[in-house]
Amino acid sequence: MPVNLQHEAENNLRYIRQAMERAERVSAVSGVGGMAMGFCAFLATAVASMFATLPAQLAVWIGTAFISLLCGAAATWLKARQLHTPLFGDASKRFLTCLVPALMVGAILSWLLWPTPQNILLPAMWMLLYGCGVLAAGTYAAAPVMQMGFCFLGAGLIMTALPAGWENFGLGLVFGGLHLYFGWQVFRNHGG
Amino acid sequence: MAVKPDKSPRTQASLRAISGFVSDDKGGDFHRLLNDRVRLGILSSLAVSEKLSFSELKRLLDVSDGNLSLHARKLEEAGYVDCAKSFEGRIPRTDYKITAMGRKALNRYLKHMEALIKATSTQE
Repeated sequence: MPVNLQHEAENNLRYIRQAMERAERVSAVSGVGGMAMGFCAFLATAVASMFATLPAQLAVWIGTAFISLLCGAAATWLKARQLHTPLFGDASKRFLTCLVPALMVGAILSWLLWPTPQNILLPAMWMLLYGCGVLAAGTYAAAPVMQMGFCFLGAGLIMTALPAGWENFGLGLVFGGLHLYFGWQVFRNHGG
Repeated sequence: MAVKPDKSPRTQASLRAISGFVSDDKGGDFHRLLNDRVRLGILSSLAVSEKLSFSELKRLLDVSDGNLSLHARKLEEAGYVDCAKSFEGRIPRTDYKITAMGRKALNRYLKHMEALIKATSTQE
C-alpha cells in the first residue's frame, strides 16, 4: 500500500509540473516588453532619419536592436518575478534556443555585409531572419508570437521587392508596428 | 494476514506530518477539491499565469466545455479562482485568475504530496 500511495503522489506532482510547463508556454513572453521594443523601433526610425547614408542609419538600427533585446529581457524578468515563476523555465529555455540561432546568423551576416554595397539587403534579411526565429520560438509561447513571426516573414519578402530608399521607413514600420501590435495582443490576453 | 502497524517514532512523525495538512478546519475541503485532475490542472496552470481564458484552459487541459465549466465553477465557489466575463467584439470571453487562497491551497497540496512521498519512502 505505501508504494501505491507514493506512486499516486509522484503522479500528482508530475501532473502539476506538466500543467505548469504547458501554461508557462502561454504566459512566459512579456506583452509590455514587446510594446517597449516597438517604441524603441519608432524612436530608431526618427534618429536614423537624421543620417544621410545607409551605413550610418543601419548602425543606429544595430544599436537599437541591442537596446530592444535588453528591454524585452527586462520585461520578461519582471513578469516572471510577478508570477513567481523561474525566468529560465523549460518553455523559456526552448523559446531562447529557437530564437537565438537566427539572431546570431543575423549578427554575423550584418558584420560581413555592413561595409559592402550589399548592405542594402540587410533590412530585408533582418526581417526574414527575425521572422524565422520568432516563428520557431512561437511554438513555446502564446499564439500571437507565432503570428508575429509569419508577419515578419511576409514583411521581409515585401521588403526585398521595394526600391532603395525605403530601408529606414520599412524597418520602423515593420519592427515598430508589429512589436507594438502583437505586444498589445499578448498584454491584453496574457498580461504583463 | 493482518499487517502489524509500524509504531516506530520515525514513522509516527511522518504520519503526523501528512495528517497535519488535512486535519485543520478547511483541510478536508481543500483536499477533496484538488484530488480531481481537472481542478488540479486548472489551479496549476493558473499558478504560473497572470490569467488564462476559458479556451486556453480547455486547450491546455484537453477537456470538454462542460467539464471545464463545471470544475472551474467549483474552484470559483471555493474562492480559489476569480472569473471575469467580458466581450471581445461580439464574442463572449471568460478569463480566470488564481486567488491568494487558491495559491495557498496549491502550495499546501504540494507540501502534502511531498510529505506523503517522504513518509512512504522512509517506511520501505
